[in-house]
Amino acid sequence: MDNADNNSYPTLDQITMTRGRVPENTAKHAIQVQDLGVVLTDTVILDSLSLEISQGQWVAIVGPSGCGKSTLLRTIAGLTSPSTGVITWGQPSAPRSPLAFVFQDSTLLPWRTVYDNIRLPLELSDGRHSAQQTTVKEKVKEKIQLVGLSQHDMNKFPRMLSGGMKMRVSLARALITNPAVLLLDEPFAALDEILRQQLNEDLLRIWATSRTTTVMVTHNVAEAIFLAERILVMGGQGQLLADVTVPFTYPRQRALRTTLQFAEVNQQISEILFAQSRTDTGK
Amino acid sequence: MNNPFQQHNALRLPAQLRALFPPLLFLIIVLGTWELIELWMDIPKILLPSPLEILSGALEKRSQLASAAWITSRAALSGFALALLLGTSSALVFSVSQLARRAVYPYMILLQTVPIVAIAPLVIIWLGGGLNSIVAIITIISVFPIVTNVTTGLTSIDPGLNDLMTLYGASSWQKLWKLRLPTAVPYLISGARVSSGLTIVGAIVGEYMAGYQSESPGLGYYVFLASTNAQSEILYASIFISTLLGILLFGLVTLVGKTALARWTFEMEQ
Repeated sequence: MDNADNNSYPTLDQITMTRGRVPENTAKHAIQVQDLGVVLTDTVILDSLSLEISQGQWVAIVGPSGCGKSTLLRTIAGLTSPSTGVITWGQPSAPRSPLAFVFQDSTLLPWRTVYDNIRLPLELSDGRHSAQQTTVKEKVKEKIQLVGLSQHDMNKFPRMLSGGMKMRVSLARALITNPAVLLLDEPFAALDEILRQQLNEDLLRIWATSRTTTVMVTHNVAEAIFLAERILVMGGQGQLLADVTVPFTYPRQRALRTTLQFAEVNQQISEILFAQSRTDTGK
Repeated sequence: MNNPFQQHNALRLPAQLRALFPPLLFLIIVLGTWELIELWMDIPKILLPSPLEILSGALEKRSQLASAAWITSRAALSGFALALLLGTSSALVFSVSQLARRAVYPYMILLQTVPIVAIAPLVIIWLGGGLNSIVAIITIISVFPIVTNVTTGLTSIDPGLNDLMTLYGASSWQKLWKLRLPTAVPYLISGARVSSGLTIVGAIVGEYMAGYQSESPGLGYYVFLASTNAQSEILYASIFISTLLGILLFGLVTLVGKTALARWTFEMEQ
């Protein structure tokens, strides 16, 4: 018997896929990358990469290790300087801080409590953290609840938390500034599969409340399909192999992972990556 | 409920206390053997007084020795505080200025290898006999572990945390205050632990060579006096007391360190 949810998903011929260079996007862009090149210690990591990410879009970047996907994200975040090219930002509609970054590691300060870790971005941008302590506390409480942590966790130190909880704290810290763009660099790579799926579902739920422009780097194709509405498949040196529009609407349920369409999209993207891998190894 | 194991567990001492038994037992055996050898072989007191002779000699001069121990502790603590202050501030300079680190740090390492006994006379020439020279000698011997440890701590920050700070636009001052200094705290504590042992060495050397001008002499000067007057039991007593002071100071720093580090994930090695 067919799952009732499945019927609402489009069939494979409805999936749009563009190979090679990404076409101009007419929608209002959040991030525009033009002819980006990054050279680190005499190694070309990215070479004339261009792409546009629309406001409110969830984009996943998949690709083999060392293809430059993390470097692209770090360059967008301003943590790595581009050798050539420009990155321009669209104007966010509301006065929000431009971006937040969730690293692969939870990057929590071990000497600070969960509460103090989450409020760190506010403290750094504000300088005078004595100002409106109650507002800060309310904000932190709200985000703690949003990421699925309990109020009792606020005074715990990171060493008292499990890997999944640490990532939730890291996510709450990223969301505290209500960023216009959320950058995720393989945030759940270190977690086990069940926990990863749980966090994926929670992340979708959180995203649905704000529809923040999100760019996520992952090497897990299934994760990318489950979360993103658009997947950029990258080859070596930032070469864009494909720009896939994911044919599923939000909200997405866990059952989506078991559908035939999901498997087909997964298959298509994996084929592109396999083909690239064969070209790289000369087989 | 009668649980036969419950009473047995209640009688067991904490693991830390139980760990003290083997070394304590060994000490008693050594002291006992020492006392017996004295009894049987009749070794002259000047060569090797028996533990009981040392104890009675120490009790006889207890007020002088107690005052000497206090004088030595005071000098050691002053020198230690000065070493902490100087060590941390130079480490701060080294962490901020790479040029300063490159230019001065190698000499700091080099200076560390010069024997303190060779420097002590120089210090006495500059500062004269007495407390100033003693404190200076203690500071010189105990400052290096703090400088090297804190410099390492301040400069070895987690690149991920540094990225995080950069991402949220942290100023250099914010990075120093909120990232570098907290990262360096465990390093400071382990440096201070090494230094605390060295301060007593510095105090004894300092007092041995410069203690003659102090109003009331410290343990190092007693070592000097006892050796010239052939008062072996006082010499031994001074050695034991100064060792005890070293252990005490080391224990104190370890305790303070453990309390402070309770917040940090880094566990101090036992």
